[in-house]
Amino acid sequence: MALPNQQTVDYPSFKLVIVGDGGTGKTTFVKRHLTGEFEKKYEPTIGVEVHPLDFFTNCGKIRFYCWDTAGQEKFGGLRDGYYIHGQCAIIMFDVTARLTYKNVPTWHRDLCRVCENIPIVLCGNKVDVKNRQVKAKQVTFHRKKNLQYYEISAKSNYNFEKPFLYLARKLAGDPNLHFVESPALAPPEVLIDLAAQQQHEAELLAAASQPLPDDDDESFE
Amino acid sequence: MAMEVTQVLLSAQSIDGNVRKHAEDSLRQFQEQNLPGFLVSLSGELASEDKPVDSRKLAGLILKNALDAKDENRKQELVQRWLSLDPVAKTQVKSCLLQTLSSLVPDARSTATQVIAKVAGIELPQKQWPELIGSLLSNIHQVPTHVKQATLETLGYLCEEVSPQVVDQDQVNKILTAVVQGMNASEGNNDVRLAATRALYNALGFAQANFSNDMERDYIMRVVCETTVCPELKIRQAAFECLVSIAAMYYEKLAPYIQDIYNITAKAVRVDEEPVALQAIEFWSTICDEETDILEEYMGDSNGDSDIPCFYFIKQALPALIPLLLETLLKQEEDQDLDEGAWNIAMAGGTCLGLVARTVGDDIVPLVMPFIEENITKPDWRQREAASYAFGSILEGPSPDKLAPLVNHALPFMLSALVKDPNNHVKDTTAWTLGRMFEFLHSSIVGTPIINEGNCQQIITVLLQSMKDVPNVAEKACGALYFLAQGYEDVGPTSPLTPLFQEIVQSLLTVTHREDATESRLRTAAYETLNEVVRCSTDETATLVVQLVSVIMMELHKCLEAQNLSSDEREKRSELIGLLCGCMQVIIQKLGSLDSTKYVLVQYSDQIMRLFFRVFACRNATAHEEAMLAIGALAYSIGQEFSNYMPEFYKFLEMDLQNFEEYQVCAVTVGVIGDICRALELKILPYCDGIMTQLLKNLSSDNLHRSVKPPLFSCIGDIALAIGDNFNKYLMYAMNTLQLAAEMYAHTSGFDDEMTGVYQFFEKWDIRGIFCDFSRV
Repeated sequence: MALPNQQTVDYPSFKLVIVGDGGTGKTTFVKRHLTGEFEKKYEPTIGVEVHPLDFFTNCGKIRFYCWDTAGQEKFGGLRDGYYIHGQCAIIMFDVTARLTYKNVPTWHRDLCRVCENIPIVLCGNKVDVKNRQVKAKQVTFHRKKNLQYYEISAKSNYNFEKPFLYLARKLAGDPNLHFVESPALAPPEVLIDLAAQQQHEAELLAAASQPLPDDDDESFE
Repeated sequence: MAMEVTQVLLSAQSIDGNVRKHAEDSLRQFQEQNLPGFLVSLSGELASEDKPVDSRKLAGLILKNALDAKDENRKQELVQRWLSLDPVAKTQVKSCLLQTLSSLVPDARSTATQVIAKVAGIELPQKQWPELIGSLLSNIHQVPTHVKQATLETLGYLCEEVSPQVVDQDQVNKILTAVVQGMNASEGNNDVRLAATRALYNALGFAQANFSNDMERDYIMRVVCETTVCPELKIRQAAFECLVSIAAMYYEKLAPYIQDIYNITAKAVRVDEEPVALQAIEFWSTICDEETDILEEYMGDSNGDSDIPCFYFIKQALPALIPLLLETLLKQEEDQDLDEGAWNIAMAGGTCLGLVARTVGDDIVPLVMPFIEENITKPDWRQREAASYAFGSILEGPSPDKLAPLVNHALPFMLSALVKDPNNHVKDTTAWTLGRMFEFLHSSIVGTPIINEGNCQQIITVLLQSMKDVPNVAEKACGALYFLAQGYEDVGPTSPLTPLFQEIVQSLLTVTHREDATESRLRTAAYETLNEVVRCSTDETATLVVQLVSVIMMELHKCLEAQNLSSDEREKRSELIGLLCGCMQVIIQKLGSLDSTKYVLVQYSDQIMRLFFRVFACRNATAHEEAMLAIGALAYSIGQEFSNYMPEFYKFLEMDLQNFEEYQVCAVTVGVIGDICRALELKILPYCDGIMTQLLKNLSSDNLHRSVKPPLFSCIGDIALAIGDNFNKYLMYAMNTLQLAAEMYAHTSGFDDEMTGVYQFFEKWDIRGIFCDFSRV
């Protein structure tokens, strides 16, 4: 059943809410996926910007409507009013700015009170930067709330598909779902590609279960 | 008076940005022109049973946001606005909110609960709305369960918004009684029990007085523990979340209950579903965090006192807790090794095991080793992987004396498993564990070295072979080699790695050329390991490092020559350029630190600088930063010789100092100027007018990220040191800026980072005696 106010597409689509302090890289992260470009200049998001993001999976095409919300309160617009009907979420903080991690519990609380029981990914962004103030060991909030946590970098693309893959798996209820390259062929032939894909995976699985050939180096006996 | 807002509220949720913006503008105008009418309309919308749920929900959220803000100043402004509102309007709003608690629509009820809590947070401290709590408590005895559920939710949020001092203790007690009774098994409705359990979670901070009373605490704890065995999954999870929060907030009260809690958590970990089991494990992780903090405070205080005594719950629970956690390690997910951030039962158990090791130290070792010895050779990969993961998890905390003999014993087997185990997941974890062994147990200060003349060659050979494995395993092998090299950092003039240096470097370079090197961050790991191998190498390998200069320069040259790249390929190239520049920086620092090789840098410096100028032309921020840092290292190494490059390099310095958007580049550039000052000393003088002008502009700019400001002060100090008396020219400008910074400090206490640069500046002034010059002005 199509959600209210959603544009209809003939494949599954989900409302993804992206929240977190201003300057943590939410918009850059979304635009990275949209255009492949890394946006250096910081322009605060006003209210919310909605971007459709399509992914191709082994089970077919899916779309995330990314509701990229303002992190700065003065530009917040309707604030958590944008979360209504959110089906999944990303909470982003900046590992070089301790305060943005301290505010994660507040973002999580506001989110959960509007969208109950949705899959959420916590993202620590900007992990390329040398002077990170929030070290990996210090991130414990995901433990308290059973969230998935990924360290990412919108700048270098590190782990940048992982949050979407995790959410897609949860929403589909399929832990084995994975992303594939977009098919260049016409729709009727997509099925053939998928069949070939499954065959290829079966072959890989069979190959992976074979024991490695023994190394005859004496020092390892 | 009330405007019809339904359609506007629905439009405000449109995907279409234009529709949404228009609706938001209408709402803003309404709010600005007629605040009382706006709030009354929203509350009416929320309360109206014939309105669509979406407009009701948004109406409630907008109403809540009209009363609350994260920014404290903004919040106080909104509070005052509410308090000064027409009393008739306020009464209408509050009446609608309470009415909505009876709504049959769950989303309307849950939104109303949030708004009521916000209003209570404003009014109760002002002794307004005195009948609210009584009214809510009377709802608890209502027959309709949905009203009871909404009321408990409201009470929980209210406890979060209002401090207990604002409410009569008698009413505090009644609230908690209602909440805890709602959790009780005698309450037949699951929605009510869930709302009550979550309400208690929110109310825990409110319940300080009750947690200090033995009888009341006993009652609360008994009900929480009983709720953890409720048939409904969500309720069990919520109950465990209460236990986790109690562990953090009321650690010092837990002693009478710890045995019961162990029994409850053990059962949940063993047989319950993952969301509940994760929270059961989290209880013990939280206890570890609390005890580690207490013990560290105890160690740090010379009096040996801590505000809170340590009850050593983990040590007490150890014999029962360890087997429980070890069992969790056997519940791996398939492909878990390919997901670096995977979070599940096995990962939570391993994390907790590591925290226990840090908390109790040596005591954990005899409890874990039998599991490792038993499982490490089992046919089932899960058992082998779990054994390896357990070993890696306990390597931080116990003493080297305790661990080293065990590691020595296990090392040959681990090395064999790393390249011979048929399962990738096992190899991945084995490589990780080896890295942990080297990270915590391999250094020149450890009494019984785990790496010695007898096994060093074999270890290196195995790691180099493992770097040919699948990317995620190879990446862990690089990490192990990284820590192995790091352990020899202070080894002295001779290192066991010296005879192997060339082979190691060659293997790492081969890894960087793998076609799949961009997977699992393998290429980055290989270069970082190469950097560490070079950084920690001894003088014996200096001639080989000299050869490496040519190799890396050639790599960088080829990278810069690449043409016709797609957007993705361009991105990868920029990343590689950054890695190569980082490698150059380490090599330059190594060669520059030795008198015997410093001349090589002078010989190569023309080529090096030309390459770096070409990197700047690529216009990639990360690569730019790395090149800038490498140039700083080069300047530091060749000293006065660097003045040859200043005419051209100055252009980039000037450009970077003005680069506010990429403020990290700007910050790096400021640091490099300090390096150049130390290198050139008086020869920096011709460029000082331009540099100082820009530094002072940067200091006063509102557009430059605040994190760059402290380094600017430090940089000014470096310039003063370099040019001595010539600094008089800039003294008044610098002093004026310092005074402004000091005044800002007086008004914004707590920003220590902000003042670090200022202190450094004054320290340097003292050293040079420039302050005396100031007194003459």
